[in-house]
Amino acid sequence: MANILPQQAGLTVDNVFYRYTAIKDTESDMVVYVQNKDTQGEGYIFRSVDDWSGLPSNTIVKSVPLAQLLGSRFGDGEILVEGQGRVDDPLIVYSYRYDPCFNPQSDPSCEGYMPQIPEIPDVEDPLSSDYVQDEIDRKAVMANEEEEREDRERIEEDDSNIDEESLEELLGIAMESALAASDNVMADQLSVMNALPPSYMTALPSTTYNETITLSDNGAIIKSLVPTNRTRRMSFAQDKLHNELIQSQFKR
Amino acid sequence: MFRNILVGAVALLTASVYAENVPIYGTVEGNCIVVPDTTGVYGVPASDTLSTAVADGGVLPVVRYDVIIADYYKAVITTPTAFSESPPLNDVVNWTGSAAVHEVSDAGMSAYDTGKVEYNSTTEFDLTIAGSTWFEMDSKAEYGYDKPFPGGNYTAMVEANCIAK
Amino acid sequence: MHRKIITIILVLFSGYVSAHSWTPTYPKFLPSYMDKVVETEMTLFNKRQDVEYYRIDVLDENMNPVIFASANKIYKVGYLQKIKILIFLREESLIDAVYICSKSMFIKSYTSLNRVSSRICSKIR
Repeated sequence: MANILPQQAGLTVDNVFYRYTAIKDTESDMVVYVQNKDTQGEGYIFRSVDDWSGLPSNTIVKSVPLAQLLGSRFGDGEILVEGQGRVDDPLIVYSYRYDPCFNPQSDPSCEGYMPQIPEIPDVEDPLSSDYVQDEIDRKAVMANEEEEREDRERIEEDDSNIDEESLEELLGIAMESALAASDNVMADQLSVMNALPPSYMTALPSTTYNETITLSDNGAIIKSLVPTNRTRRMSFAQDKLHNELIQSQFKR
Repeated sequence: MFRNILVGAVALLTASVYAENVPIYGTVEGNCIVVPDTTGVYGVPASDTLSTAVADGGVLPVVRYDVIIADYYKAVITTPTAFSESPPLNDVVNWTGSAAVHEVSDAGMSAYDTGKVEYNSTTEFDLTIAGSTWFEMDSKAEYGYDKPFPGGNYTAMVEANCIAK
Repeated sequence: MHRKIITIILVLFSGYVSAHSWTPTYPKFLPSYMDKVVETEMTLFNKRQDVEYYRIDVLDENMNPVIFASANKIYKVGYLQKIKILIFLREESLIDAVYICSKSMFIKSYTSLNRVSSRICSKIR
């Protein structure tokens, strides 16, 4: 019956309709059973008996109402013929009903649906282990020592005055020599063409030019520039003494 | 406050009076229901013959009888003896017909065919078992002596009677 | 919120299902308000979509008509409509009357549709 009734929770069967044609001799005995086994025990959950004994052949159409029997109880079905005769063109129809929300958890649109809360498994925190903590501490200490060692090495390098040659200086030296080489080549080419005057090639002497003009005024100019004034000298001396007295107050 | 309590008590009393059982009555009485199941169609196997037989290209009309209480009724089925509608016919039409059990809702109803009574174009079945019984009718009309039917629409009526015993 | 119920029903009847019923099966005539006249009440239920009219007859045992009185001889009964019909009979006719019948009537048309006329007869007790 798994291939006939939907596998739905809460499915109930409320009617069985069947139809078949009994082929037999009128005088012969024949009994036809239309039945389904009960999955929850011995016997049959549904059984309909048609006694064709002494009756002519005919087609039977029968509808058997049921009291909302659970579909899960319907086992294998069969049409069993006892006696002389056969059954042609059998047809059995089960009328059933089910509630898709019989189990509210089957569909989020069902009334009463509760979202499932996932179970959080008990996980041991590795950081809580003493061994792990000790190892972390040991590594932290080692890291600190390594950092201190690097700092000491850096300081030593600075003290040794190792000139760091910058890349720009090296390029400048290389460029300078390259420029000097190119200048020399250009100068040789110009001298060959007599484009430069000879004085261009001559080195200039290094000569010192001393002062030859002297002024003789017997010091008249100097005296005029420095007037003697006794009052002004006394004022300057008093100012100096005053400043020293004030400064002495702040000295401790 | 006392007035409010009194009003509330009266309201409660009033509400309890309305809670009553309402009965529903019904009786099962003998009843016969006649249901035309399949409309018949005349086939034309020959120019002078109209027939509902399947072999002649026709469709057998089927009528269902539903009987509530056993042995209250008998089915009296009369096959056509004249056209209810047809072109003008100037000759005799010979009619033959019969009725037989087609399907049953109880195996015992197969015996209806054995005990049926036929006379003229009428067949009587004694409905001794409650349930549904399908009867199929066969009707055949032959025009004159080897004379073709004139062209046109032909309609005939089957009479299905359910008569109390 | 209504729960959704899924119901699967397969009906394997060929053709359309239509019927008419005529009750009770064994009617009883009772004295009416008129002298020497008896009456009974019949119920007609029309479940035939193709029929609108029904004729009422009172017949003897040989299916011959017996004189009776009612509001109409032919009643118009719509689809799924139920009507009650009062039938009056003279007391002297009560001896002959055996059946009270209702028969479906068709309006004459030019369609070539073979129909089944249904007649249900109740027996007078």
